[in-house]
Amino acid sequence: MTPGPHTREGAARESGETDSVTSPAEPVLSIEQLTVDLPAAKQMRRVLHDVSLTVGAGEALGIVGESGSGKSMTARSVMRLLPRGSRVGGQILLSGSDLHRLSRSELRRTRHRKLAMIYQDPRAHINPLRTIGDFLVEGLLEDGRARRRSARGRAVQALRDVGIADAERRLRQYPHQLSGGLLQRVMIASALLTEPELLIADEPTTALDVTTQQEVVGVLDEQRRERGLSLIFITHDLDLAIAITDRIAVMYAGTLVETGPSHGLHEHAIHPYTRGLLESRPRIDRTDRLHAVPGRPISAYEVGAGCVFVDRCPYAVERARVERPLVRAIGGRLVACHRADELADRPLDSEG
Amino acid sequence: MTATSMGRIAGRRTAALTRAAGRDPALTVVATLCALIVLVAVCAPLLAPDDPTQTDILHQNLSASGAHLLGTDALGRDILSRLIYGARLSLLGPALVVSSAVGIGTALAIASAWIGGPFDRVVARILDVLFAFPAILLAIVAVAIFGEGLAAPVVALAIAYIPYVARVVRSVALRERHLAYVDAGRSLGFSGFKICVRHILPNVGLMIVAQATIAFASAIMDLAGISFIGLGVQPPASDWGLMVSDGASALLNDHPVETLSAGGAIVITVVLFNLLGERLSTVSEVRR
Amino acid sequence: MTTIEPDTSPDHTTQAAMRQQITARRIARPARSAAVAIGARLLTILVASLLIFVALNAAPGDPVRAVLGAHASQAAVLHERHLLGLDHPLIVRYWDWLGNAVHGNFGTSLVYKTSVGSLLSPRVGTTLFLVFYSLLLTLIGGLTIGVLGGAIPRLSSPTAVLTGVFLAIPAFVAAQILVVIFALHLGWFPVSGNGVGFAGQLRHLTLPAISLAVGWSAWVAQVTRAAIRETAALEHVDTARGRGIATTRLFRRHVLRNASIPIITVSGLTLAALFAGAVVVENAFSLNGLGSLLVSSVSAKDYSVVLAVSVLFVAIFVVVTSVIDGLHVLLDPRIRHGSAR
Repeated sequence: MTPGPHTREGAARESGETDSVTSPAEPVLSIEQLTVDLPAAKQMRRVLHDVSLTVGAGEALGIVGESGSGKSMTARSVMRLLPRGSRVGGQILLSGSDLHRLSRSELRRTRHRKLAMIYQDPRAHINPLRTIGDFLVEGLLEDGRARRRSARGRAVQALRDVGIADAERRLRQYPHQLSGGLLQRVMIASALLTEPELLIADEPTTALDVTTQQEVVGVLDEQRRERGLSLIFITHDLDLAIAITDRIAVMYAGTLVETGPSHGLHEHAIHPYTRGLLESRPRIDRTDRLHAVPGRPISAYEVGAGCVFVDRCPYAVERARVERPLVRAIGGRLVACHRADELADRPLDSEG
Repeated sequence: MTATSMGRIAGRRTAALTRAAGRDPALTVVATLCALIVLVAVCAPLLAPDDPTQTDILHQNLSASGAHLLGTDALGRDILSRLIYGARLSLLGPALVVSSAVGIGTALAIASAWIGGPFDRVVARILDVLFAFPAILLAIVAVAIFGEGLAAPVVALAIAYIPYVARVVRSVALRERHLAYVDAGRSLGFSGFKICVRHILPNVGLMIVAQATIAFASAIMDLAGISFIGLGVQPPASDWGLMVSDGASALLNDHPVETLSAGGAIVITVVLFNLLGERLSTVSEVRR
Repeated sequence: MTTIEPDTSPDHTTQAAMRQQITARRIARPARSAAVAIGARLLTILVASLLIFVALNAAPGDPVRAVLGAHASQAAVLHERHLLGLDHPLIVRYWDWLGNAVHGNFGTSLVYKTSVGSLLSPRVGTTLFLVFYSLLLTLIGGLTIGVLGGAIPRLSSPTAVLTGVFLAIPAFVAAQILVVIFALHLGWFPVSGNGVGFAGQLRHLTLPAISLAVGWSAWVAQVTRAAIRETAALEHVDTARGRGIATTRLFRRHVLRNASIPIITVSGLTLAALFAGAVVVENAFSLNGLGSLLVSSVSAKDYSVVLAVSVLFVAIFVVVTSVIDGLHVLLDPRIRHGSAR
């Protein structure tokens, strides 16, 4: 995968330069100190610890991490699709309004007009008993803004935009008659139909084979750039994230460990976990033993008082065991590590 | 399979069950109550105040009193004693039904899941046809052929219940069969039978027990119904279903004790065993 | 990831939970031609009739002797057997029976000495009335409680408990309780008998219908509740919610619609089971229906009647399950088009 361009045309504001640490003022999405507890068997379990992120207009932010790192949970918190009984702390501001303080009808409207989400398994996320056309159109008809006929027309166009050829015929078909890749495109089309401000893609290509993956990602990227959408792209595939996003946020055990520009991540990653991820990717030109991050990933609720990564970190110090590192800005990146200064000076051994 | 290894498996299973019980007080309570009911049935001679078959024309249809805690029935027999002794046949029949259905059904299901192919498909087809057919009708036809009594309905119900048991066990066994440890066993050269018994069976064991408990409760209701219509247990023997029927005329004369106590016994027993089955099922699910 | 609630397990654990698996089975059949399907059904009924015929005739005990009395002479017995055609080989007798049955002639009752058909006709109406009356009550009660229990989280546990208790009440026990309260003490309904005319039947069959409905509506409620809870937790519901679709519309289009399949299955199966339940309830209320006829003819060893009523029940059962299968095909596009993709 070749690294994607790192400037964005069509961004509504500014030139879209993303070398700065944070996005330009008035980001589309601003998550501040987000903490989430989920109800589980008679107690509450913390799944997100003080996560803070921003996404600018027209910007693509990648959230990368292993399973259980909290990346999906962050997405669902933005969409407010958390289970009953969950507790949410901190703020999530979408274009200035706090998503978790909205009333039900305001939330509905916001979800309808400003947000859109696509999911990992399209087959599970589309009602198998209704046609594709039904699926696409119901999103539009919700508040009576569109008429059925014009909605259909727009649905056809949306399918064409994502590269589905015989769109008219597809509208009449049922989900089980389409392949996974096609279904994922349908999902993208439905997300784009309502012209949201922010699109969240939760591992949209994980369930697909590599070729289809490339196509789907291509569609997503192209549409995003054309429409100037903000995108949050969630994946466990670091290379994929580097290729199509402007900035990457790395998560581990429900905590944000590092945020920074995608371009140059290979050379300039600071946090030991990010480095570990980079080093553990298999490479064609090296035949020595694959380097893996030792230990097993822990869940957010299993962390102690100190740094979440301390048990697996090759650079761990005593201080990391008892004190959780605060996020600091270093060299154009945001890092949560006690030894960030030292590590910033120590370049990575491997080349990107 | 040696006695020691079977003992070890049984020991592990009981240990697991007791651990589960420790964690779940509701399970212990329900299990104890069920055990109490079984105990009452077993120890009937010790618990019943009177001989349930002792008729006494002079004391028919008495209301509750010191001598007869629940009164007497139309033939002067003590209702409480009849109730306690009635537990025996009310529980024995279902026990026989369930043990046969579970035994045959489990063997069929595990074999089917293991062998697969045409055997599996044929078995599945036959079971499908039998599946939702009301058990009571099968039992009635059986009685038509073999005569009244507990035997014919028990056999018929056992046959009717096999598909239920087989279905559950088959799906669980299929799930287990594809797990890694089975392939590991095969690559080590274990025979199919050995794998089935030593590895698959203990894991599905708890689920089978749970389903058997629920089937037991169903069988209590079905058999009681058959006795009620006069095709099941025959006098002078008695079970709760027959008691409900016997007490019907007394009920119309404002002496509902016999009918209602027998009916209540049925309902309470069924509720308890259902609860037990549910709890066990939850435990077996949680463990995987 | 799907929405989690503290009590997540759908009800694969309840008493008639085994019967819940019925809903799972009926999805896999691909649509074959209608003719083949009907043919298979008829074959099932035929095979069942053959099995029952053979079994009844192989039964121990001599029905002729039972009717004539133990003291009848051998000659009289032989004569009677010849008259009834019982001295022909089994398969010939079956063929004769089948030939007659297709024309509605089910033979003669040994006990009543009249044609079986004349015994059946008045009773069919009563049983059908009872069964459909119970079905109505069962569905109204069961579906309402099930939907409420499944959709409203606070009602979830109470409905589980309530239905758990009612499930354990057999129809004949419910009958006694209802008679004590509503017939004896309140005098609103009669204790027994069929009743004449529509209004009369309605009045006489109300308590019997409720007795049946008590247990079966609890089961319908449980399956419905489970279906709704499971469907509500499915991912595609999340998708719709995330798109800002209003709750009521969400519920209707995505939860109810999808849950309707197991719900309809369970309703159909309830109908089939109610016919069996009618046997016991007719007995409890001294009603003159097919069920009570079956029981009395079994006791009296009146085999031609037993055969006719049993085959009739089997036929009803096969018809009902066929209708359920047909509805599945209609409702689930995945079956209509064969397997996925």
